[in-house]
Amino acid sequence: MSGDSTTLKPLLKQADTHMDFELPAEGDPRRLEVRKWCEEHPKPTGMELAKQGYVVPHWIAPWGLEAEPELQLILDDELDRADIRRPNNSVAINNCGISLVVHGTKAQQDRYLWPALSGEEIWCQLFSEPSSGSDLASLQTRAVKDGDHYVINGSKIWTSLAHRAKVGIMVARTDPSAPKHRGLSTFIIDMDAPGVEVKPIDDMTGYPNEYNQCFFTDVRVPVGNLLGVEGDGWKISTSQLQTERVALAKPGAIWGTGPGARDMVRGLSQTEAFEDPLVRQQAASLYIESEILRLLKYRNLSDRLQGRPIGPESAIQKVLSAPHGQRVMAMTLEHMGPRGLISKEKPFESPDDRDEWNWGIWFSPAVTLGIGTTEVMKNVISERLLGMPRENDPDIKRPWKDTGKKKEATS
Amino acid sequence: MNFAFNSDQDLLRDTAARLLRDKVDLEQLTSQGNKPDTTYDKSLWQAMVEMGWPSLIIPEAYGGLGLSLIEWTVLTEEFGKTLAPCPYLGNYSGTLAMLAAGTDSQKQTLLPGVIDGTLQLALAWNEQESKEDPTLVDSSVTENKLTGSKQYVVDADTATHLIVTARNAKNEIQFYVVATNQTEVKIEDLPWMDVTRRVSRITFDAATAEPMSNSFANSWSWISDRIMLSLASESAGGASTILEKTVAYTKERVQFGKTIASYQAIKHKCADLLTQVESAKTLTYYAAWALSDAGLDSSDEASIAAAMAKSYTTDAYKTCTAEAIQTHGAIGFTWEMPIHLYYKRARANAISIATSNQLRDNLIQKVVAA
Repeated sequence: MSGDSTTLKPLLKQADTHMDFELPAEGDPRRLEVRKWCEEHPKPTGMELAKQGYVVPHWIAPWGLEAEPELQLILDDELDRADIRRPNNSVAINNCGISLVVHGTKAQQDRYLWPALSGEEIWCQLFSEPSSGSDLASLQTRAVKDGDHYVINGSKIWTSLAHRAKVGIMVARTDPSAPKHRGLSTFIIDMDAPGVEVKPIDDMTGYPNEYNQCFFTDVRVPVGNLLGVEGDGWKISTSQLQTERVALAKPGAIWGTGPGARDMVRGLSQTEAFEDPLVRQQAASLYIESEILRLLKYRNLSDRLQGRPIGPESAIQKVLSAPHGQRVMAMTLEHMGPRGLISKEKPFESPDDRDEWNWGIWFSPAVTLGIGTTEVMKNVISERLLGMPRENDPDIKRPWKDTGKKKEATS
Repeated sequence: MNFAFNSDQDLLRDTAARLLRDKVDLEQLTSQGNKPDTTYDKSLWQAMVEMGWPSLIIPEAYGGLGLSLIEWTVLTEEFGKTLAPCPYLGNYSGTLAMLAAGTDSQKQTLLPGVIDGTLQLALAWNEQESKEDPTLVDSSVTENKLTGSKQYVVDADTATHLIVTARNAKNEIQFYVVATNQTEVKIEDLPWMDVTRRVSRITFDAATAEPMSNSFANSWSWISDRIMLSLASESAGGASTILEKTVAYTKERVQFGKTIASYQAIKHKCADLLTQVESAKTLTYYAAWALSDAGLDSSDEASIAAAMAKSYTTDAYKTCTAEAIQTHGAIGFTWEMPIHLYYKRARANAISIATSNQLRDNLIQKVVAA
């Protein structure tokens, strides 16, 4: 039913502009200031960006600008426009760096933060272990105090970037006689220290490795590299699992990166695929899901911008986005027919996609595992948002040394 | 940037929730056997008229409150939570058609009555038994006399005036105003399974009909997008209420020595349902914004927003109500428990105006064309 319905619009009252989706205006003075700097520094070094406060604008000075959420969005927008990229050091910038601001000593801040924010020293996050995935707090890596050092023994797995990292943020067990969540501490590790061994993990994609397993054998860490105090490890670690930065949702199917549902719809529309009504149905459903994800992020942003407590949309967005990404990849693979099983084949004739599609298709089984499995997230939603009973954990109050994990560690 | 409601909108929501809690009594439909009297309780509608709600979106120029579709969405989400058995949907649909297609004199004549509650509108557009296609119209008007029939007209039996589609002398579809107090208009109640809403079949036998000015082709998508928004918001409200009731029940019901809320099969299902409910609300609020004038310029974009909200939200409502019965167990299947009222409303909303399949098919073609 077409027809010029725009002429009908003035019939109803204009909505209060309260609920709107526009970014701060073009002429916003904060925007103009950022734009001026970008014009004066067309190719800034990582350190120049860091010193300007543009890498972590939401942090306090001297690293950040204590930027309110709107200014953070303006900065993203203006850096994009100027084609300036922040240093690629996500663990430091999005997850762990802030822990040094909150819990670190002045010496730790001075030594580690500027090289991290400028991208000169890559960081990795030493969390998961072979026997401790969802139940991270049961981990076995031990840190034993020996004079002015801690001696570390154990193994960490699924560590992104470990093969390139200079610095590792590790959670390890300092007190085996405390219950599992309480006996943990956080350390800043020199990944080049003697006794650190990094082995790449070949994953099912067939592409170069994303993850590593790290082995620590009698690695000596100075006591000055303990972050916070002994026993703070769980508190610090959980805070590091969530980025505090405000940003617009990225539409990519793999944790926000790479191509997404819109790209798939565009690709399919250039083939004969949409002659099939079932394909149109499936594509429309995925398109709607991708819109839901975009809009949930906006809802979350609105809360952050207004300083309201974060509503349910943040957890909902997470639990929805990973399976959605898998569905986008599954539909794209199916569209390719037998050709989809050929290594590194592209699904669509598009110069931009390169082989991101192909990597994404075979990487997608991992997205419901990493950053919290879907099953754990559903526990979290039902327990925290719906107030349903917590899963029973027989180990939660027992000293760690009396749990099954301890037996496993010593056998 | 803001996705949140303002304090006036929050106040409207609270006021609506309070009034509906006082006035809506679903037990009247569930406590006296499975053949209840489904006539609307007039006091609920009267209270709504006094609040100015039926005229919420009518511009101030005609004496209405002149509020936006965002306020309307806040209100109808609350209606959906209680099912609010009253003629709001038919009256709203007729009002939209009057605003979109009526002459100024028709608006001046009829809208003040809608505002003070002395008149009530309904919209009659469907002529098919088993599908919904507003362009399949055989009813016709010759010399201001309408002959034909309409199916599944919501709230016709309490309406004083119908807005009816029929073919004019040029064989084009046009809107007409038809008063229901003529013997040439026969309104027959249908035994509609959703007993919270009244639906009729109407026959016109040379009934007096007054043509409206704006053409059907120019105004239908504007009207139907806004009806779909209302169906979406009441569905989002209904789904959230039924999920709340279900979760509360799982915390009380004990089997095998513990509450069923402690079983992961139940917890994960409820987490999935909450995901759908929050997604439904999000799409609905977006559609309200997109369809209101401050929103998108392109009416295609707004139509896509309405289609996404209607299809997703009514599907989610169907899922939530089906899972509510499953989770309550056999008690959920009884007439006495109100779950079936929501279950049936969900299914009625899902086939109103257009099915989810139709909407998805339309929207993907619009997305591709954009």
